[in-house]
Amino acid sequence: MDCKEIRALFDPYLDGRISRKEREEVENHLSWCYACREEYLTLERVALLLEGQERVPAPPWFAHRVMEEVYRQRSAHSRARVVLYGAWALASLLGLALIVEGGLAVYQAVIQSSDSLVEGSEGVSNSAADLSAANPELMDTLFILLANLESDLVLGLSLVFVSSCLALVALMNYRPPRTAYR
Amino acid sequence: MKETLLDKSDDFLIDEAQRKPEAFGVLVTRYQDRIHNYLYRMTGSREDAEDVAQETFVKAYLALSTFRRGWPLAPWLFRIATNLCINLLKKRNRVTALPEEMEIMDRGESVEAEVEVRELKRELDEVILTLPEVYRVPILLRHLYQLSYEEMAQAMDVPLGTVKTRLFRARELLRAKLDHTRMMERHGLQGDKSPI
Repeated sequence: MDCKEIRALFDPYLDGRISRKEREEVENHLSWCYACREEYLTLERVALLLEGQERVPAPPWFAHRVMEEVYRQRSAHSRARVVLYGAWALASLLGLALIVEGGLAVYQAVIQSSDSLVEGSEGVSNSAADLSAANPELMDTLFILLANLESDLVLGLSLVFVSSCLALVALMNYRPPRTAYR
Repeated sequence: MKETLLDKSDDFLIDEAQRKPEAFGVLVTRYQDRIHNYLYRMTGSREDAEDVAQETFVKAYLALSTFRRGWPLAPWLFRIATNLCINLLKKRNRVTALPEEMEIMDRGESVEAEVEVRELKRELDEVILTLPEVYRVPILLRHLYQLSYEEMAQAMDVPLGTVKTRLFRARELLRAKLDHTRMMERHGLQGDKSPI
């Protein structure tokens, strides 16, 4: 190996990340090549100086300050969790109540419409009459549902959806520190 | 009791930290000097080192659930510390910084040798702080803490090949700067502290 190739091995050699064969080559070369030896010794000297640098330890109050902050974050997180879960529970309850109320209203409307269909043809449009000739009950139910689209049922569903998202956010960002077993 | 926690393993303490935060306190005392010293060498300022070190451990506590048990804790902590530190330095747009005066421990050598060593070490401190952060990190991790290349890859969050490239380039830069400074002094000129 020539000087250039040997010098390319200096770094791995210094770090002990070199094969036995390459190490022998390097050491053999350094034993007679003055220029390369000087070059390597400079590198080694820098490394040794760095390793011998004085360590600057953390101040004595350091761990205490860290733990103060840790406890502070823990309380902040559990407070945030309580608020978010509380909002979720409230919104969900509200949503469920609306769903029940809306559902009941739709059900009653369906019942009433089927009754009125049996008695006569009240409040059914011409186009609806054409379609309902093919499948009367199903089409009527669908129309009633569509008519009630702005009802509390949909509002309730939206509320539950939004509040579930809130709960997800709470879970993802404010969960208590737990160790994962991998 | 804190006394019984002191000789527990890192993995045990990480598990305990969920229920008993004081277990994390023991981990902090175990690694605080390493992290603080590393950050001091990165920033050149005790104040910055302390602030970033504190942030590092708090962030580590909050992210404990993402840490893989069985793996060494140090590279992971170094990674958090490095990222926080580089953000700080970028914000300050600081390229050079002068370290504070430090006491050199007595090694029983002659006065002349001591003075020379002291000068060299001070010079080295300053030169390291003129290195771009991306090269400062591997130099410190390798030579202050003897992290293996694999541990450095973890700490720097880069592939093994990148670790080697950066480390070797960092040494090249270091040597070049040290030579440059010495040459200026030899010719009686002011030491040029600007980064090359």
